[in-house]
Amino acid sequence: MNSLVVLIPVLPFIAAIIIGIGQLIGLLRGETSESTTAFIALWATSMSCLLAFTLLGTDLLHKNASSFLLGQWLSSETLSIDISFMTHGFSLVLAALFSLLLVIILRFSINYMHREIGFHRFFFVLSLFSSAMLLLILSGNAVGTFFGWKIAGLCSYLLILYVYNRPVAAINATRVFVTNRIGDASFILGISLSYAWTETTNWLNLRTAAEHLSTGEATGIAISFAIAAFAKSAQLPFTPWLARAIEGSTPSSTVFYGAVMIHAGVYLVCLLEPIFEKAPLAMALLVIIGGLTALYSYLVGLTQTDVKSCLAFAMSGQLGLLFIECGLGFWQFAKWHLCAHAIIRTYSFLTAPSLMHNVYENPIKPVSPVIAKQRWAYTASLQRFWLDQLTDWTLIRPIRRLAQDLSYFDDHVIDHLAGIPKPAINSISSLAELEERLISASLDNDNPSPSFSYSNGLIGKITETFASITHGFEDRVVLGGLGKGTINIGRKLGQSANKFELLVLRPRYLVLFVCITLSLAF
Amino acid sequence: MNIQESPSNRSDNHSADRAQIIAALTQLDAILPGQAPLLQFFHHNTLHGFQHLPFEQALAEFETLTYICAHLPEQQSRLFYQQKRINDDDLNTALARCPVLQTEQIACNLGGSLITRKELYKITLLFDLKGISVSQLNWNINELDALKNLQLDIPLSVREQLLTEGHPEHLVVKQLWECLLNKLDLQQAILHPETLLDLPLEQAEEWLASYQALTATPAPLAEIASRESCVLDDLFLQLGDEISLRSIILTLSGVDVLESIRPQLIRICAAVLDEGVAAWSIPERHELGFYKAWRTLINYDANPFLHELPDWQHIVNELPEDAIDTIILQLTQLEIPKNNWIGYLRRLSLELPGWSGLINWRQQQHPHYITNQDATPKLADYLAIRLTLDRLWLNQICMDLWKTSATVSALRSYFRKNLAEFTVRRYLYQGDLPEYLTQLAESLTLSADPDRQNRAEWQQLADLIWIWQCSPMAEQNTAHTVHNSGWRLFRLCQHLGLTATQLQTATKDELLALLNILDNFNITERSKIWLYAYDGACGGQHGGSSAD
Repeated sequence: MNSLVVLIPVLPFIAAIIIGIGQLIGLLRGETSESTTAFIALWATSMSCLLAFTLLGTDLLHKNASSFLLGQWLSSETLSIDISFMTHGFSLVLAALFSLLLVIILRFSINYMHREIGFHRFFFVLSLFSSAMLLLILSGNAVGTFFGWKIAGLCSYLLILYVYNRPVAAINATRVFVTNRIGDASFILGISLSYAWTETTNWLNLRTAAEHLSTGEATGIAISFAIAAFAKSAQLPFTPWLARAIEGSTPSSTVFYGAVMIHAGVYLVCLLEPIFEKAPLAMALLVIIGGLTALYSYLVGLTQTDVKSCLAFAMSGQLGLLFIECGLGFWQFAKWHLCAHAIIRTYSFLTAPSLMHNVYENPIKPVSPVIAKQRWAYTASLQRFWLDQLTDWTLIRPIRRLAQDLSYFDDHVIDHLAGIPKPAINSISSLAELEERLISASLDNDNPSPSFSYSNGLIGKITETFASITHGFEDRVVLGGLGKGTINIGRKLGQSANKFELLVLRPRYLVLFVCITLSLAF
Repeated sequence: MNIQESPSNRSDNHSADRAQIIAALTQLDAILPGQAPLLQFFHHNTLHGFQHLPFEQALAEFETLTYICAHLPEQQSRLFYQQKRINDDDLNTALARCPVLQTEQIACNLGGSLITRKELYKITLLFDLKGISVSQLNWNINELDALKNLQLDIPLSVREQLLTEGHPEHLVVKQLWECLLNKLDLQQAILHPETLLDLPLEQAEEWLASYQALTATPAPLAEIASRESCVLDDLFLQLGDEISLRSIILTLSGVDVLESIRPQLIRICAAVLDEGVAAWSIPERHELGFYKAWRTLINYDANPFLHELPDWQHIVNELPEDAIDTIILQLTQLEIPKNNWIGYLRRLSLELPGWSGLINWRQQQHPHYITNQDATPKLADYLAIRLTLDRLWLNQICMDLWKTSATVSALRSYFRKNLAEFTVRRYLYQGDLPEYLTQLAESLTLSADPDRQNRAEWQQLADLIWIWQCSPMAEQNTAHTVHNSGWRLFRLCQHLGLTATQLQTATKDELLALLNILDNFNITERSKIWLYAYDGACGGQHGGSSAD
């Protein structure tokens, strides 16, 4: 019975493969194939949902083992990563709930996406996402979860970019993708620390091994996974990605940022409950970040005038509360809250278009007049506390300028030192040069240029030669060597030194030097 | 001699400017879409300002003003034809409705085949007969075997007609191509744009000579260089009616300032027009109105500081209390010629027609519309904010790239001194350059720093662009080339079912006359025919003579 768990993520994956291949070979194309694509995606996810509920039922009857081992994925010396799945507890509850929500959203999408150009692409990505998300939840080890985590992130990118010919969509999708990579790096660090200190990447073993970890070790692991969770669940300072991600269509926003993916961060924290319990600092961090995000989202949410932005900030605010609950140790409450929130948010996202009718002649209750008059607070809220701009100012712009300087250095120093290819021998650098040459040649023919001096006779010739040599010496060595050329070279050197000094004193270089010094020191 | 303006004169001028702007804003009602709030929205004729004109003229004027094509793309119409939503009868009827086209007139007689204009029109409606680039020609020949196989879009009946004489397909195609090149006095040379990178001397001399002959000047390159100066002047002359300063900066830097200011405009406009979604409205928006409410908020906004906008404190501090005064101030500061102010404001309001349309709907069309804490938005408020944001952000682009302020005179004088840079930037962002030049130009624009002297590098690249212009591969030399007239006639003859044998008696002029007919039947004419045909196919009657 436990082995059925494998099929839960595999079925939507097979559906994605079929839809993908169907599209590639042209079998699934246009409006006529819509029902086939929808049927494949819906059927596979429904089957997964059915299996998840069956396993949940047997688990409630205490008939399941805690995990199911399919085989070994890879091993290297002491590192061994299994393909294993969780068949017990909160993971199974979430798998059942999320698969049900996925089925509902898929059914909703069939009508919503009807006659859209990317209909088949949408269902391909959604099926792939369903598979990745169910793998993320059910995987028995951190590497499997990370695998699902990454694919879910990629699917999110692909669906934000659903209308890929819109430049704004491309910018938003890229920004969301890059922001989430910070969380991924932290996840990998968490896996590495877990392996280094507990010699396992299996979730169940890791939970058991938590007892033997020192507070410092537990804090290290917990904070690494917490940062990954903050990034995935749009907590500060990563919150702005959420407002950009709602660029995608309503069903994809629902599935990624309403019902399912956005909760992955909280799930990860819940999964590592014993480790967090051993790390008070990490628990405090959860409370602080969660609290700040909840406050931030509340304040920003007040000034949002479009339904999707309102929902985005409501999402991040609620997730902030979930992190507070985890940080305060109310784990069971957080799990119930997570499930309830996923359900209610699916409803609110899918009914978002009717909000206008709901608020018509029934406006949302205004804020207290004391707050309402604060112009500075209003501006901060309207501008979302300038988080995006602050990121640009502190990170993106300095790095971009540094890259430009390095590229300049590459082009003007390294390329010259390494030797750049010369043009072919029989070629010219420009037609203008040729034109000038031709014109000047014709001028030369008309008016032959006078030589330095004319003379007759032997004495005259000797004098002329001597004069020419002296003139040449003066012209090339004395005037050329010590005159204008030297001054120009000196001036250029001075300018270059000034530029170099200015460049080196810019903050980006100071930061770079500090980073280099620190990396050398440690 | 400087004439000092007296205070009373200044005041009169200012009043006249204000009156001029108020009148201009009132006139915008005719061209802005009637964009109602979503709950009030119903289908509306977006050409309402042109409904007094005959239909085609209304569309043409609308297109000229907004750059929005009022017709379906031709590709879409062809798709309708393939889907049989438009059929041959519809097209014939539509063509017959235009006597100017003289559809039954014989266009030419080639080898005993009488070709009517109607046949030519139908072919050019159904199939793409545009000229192509050298690279596309190479691709067609090398990768798609265009000189061995008949074109893929030739209908079956025409294909059979072409092969009736029993010759193999590759021979028919090859003979046709050679015959056409022969008749048109063209020579097929395998050219590749990258050969221009290391241009052989002999080739350069040959091109220069032919270009000299074509332009009838001894120094065509010098003339091209001087022509750039005229292009620069023309660009600034278009400012106002045709383009905004944003477009000029976009043309020369590839940076669209609207990308930066659009989110801010949307936020502030949405905050002002919100009817109850947000729990927190702009403080005192009802008492202050749109512009004044924004003016009080900008003092608390960290955006100008975080974006390191040059001179932002001064620009924000000098904002007048009145929106019209702000418009006058910003137009003056940007140095938009006074004669072009009306056109400039029209152009700005059309750049984001949705928001301007919505505000216009509230101000001019429904002044008694009631909402909670109504800020009574006006077009003047919107344009004053837009101009201020434009000035702030355009200044930044100009400072970053050229160390100048965003004023007409500063930009013009910078580019007059740096014509080579102007050439490179203009060609690069027009998107016409071949790949090898695009790469070079992009890399130079990335590495160019106003602190560093890159004049020689700009000049070198501008030279390379001029070489390319003199070469047979440049777009402006495409009138009578293998890849333009040669390729177009090659495709046309195949669609007409003509073989080399039938072309034996044809002259160059006769063949070029065929192309001339196609050229005169341009995209506007074709779109008109497609529209009539679609109307006919839908069973509707396009009876109205006006744009309503």
